[in-house]
Amino acid sequence: MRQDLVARAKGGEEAAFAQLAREIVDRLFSIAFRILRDVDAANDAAQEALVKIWRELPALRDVERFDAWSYRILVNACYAEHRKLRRAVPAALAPPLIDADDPIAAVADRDQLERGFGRLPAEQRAALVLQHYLDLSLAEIAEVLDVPIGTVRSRLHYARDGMRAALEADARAAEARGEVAT
Amino acid sequence: MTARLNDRDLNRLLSDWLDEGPSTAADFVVERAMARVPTVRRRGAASWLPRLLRTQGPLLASLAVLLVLGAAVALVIGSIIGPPDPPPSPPVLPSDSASIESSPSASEEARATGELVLEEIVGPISLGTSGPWLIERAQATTADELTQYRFAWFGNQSRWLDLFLDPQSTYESGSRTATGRLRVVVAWFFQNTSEGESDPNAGTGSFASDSGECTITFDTSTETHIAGSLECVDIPGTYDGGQEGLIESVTATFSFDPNDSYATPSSVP
Repeated sequence: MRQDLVARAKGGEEAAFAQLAREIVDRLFSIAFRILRDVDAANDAAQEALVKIWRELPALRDVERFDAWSYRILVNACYAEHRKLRRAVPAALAPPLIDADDPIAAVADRDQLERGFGRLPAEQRAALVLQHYLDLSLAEIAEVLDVPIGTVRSRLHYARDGMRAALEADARAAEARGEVAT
Repeated sequence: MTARLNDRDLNRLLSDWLDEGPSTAADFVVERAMARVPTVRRRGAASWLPRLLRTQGPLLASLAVLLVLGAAVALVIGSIIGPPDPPPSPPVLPSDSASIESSPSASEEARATGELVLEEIVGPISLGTSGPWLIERAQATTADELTQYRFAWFGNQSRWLDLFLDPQSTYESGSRTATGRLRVVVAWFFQNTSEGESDPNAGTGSFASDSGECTITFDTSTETHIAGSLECVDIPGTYDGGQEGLIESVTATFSFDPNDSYATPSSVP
């Protein structure tokens, strides 16, 4: 059914594309939000992606590859939106009480995750989202991002290092302030 | 002592955290996208076909056949009378399967072997008074490893501007000159993206980028040259050591005579 819609939209049927857009928009928005961490920007990215999908559909050779192909368009739209978003200076929030014996519970504060994620370049964010939210394999991520698998590994490596460093830095800062629960 | 997060725990954290959050787009997203669809120029669309034919499907298929036959007849007649003037269209950039044999002039089509295809759009930009302008980047580089960027405007009078940029320029500001009258001055402004950390490549090194969003402003006071300025912001790329980074802005000015021919700019000394 989806492939039929894609084929008809590819052929220029606006009604078919409208139906296809309604079917995929929530998925596009979900991915965009998780990359951009901003609802308005995610809506804008999803809208831009839909327009570009319509524009580029005639060039899609294999309708079975529509999902990966549309994700690539969405990720590029997210890159553009991310460039528009000026990185906000994070508020100086006090880290929460941390239990040094249970680092998982200690990192439950989503602000820490937001801060760590917010420091990542858009390309690393996208790789993390494709891996951990969409559960794509390295090869699938490489196809979506149109980069070599080695580049995917590199981006994930730096992203994870960045997240880990940010999370551990918050923990160390809290420890230094004597806020560690005993 | 602070326990270090192991990979498994980090993976679980990331997955759980990313599962949270909104998953429903605003109602206006599809509405606004569909409102723009009729004005979008589709890749590979035959612009001379009325939009009606592309959207009405089989209902007007017979009319489309008649139009095609009519065009074929016109071509046959034209071949008898003489070759018709080619429809105005912007030149296309060479694909990765093509090699650039000679640099194109602003007023001539790009010449390359292999299939010519329009490359991935780097990003749409707005000129303000008219447009929209599109930025396209050739996948194939020139013989001296420059990347060709085309800024094109498809309007009543198609225009385009080619810039040959070396994405691996050094950090020191410099000038790039070309034979003929094309001249591009590029200045790189680099700022640290890592808080509190010094730039490991400060002063020397290279930066390779393959994307970016640009704004181009034309100087309309000149009557003989195409001149203006170009600004690109937030260009992600990779240092020559493999570290990913970000150049926050690139500015360039340009001035060239569209009726002149020009050769590929020389390499950065």
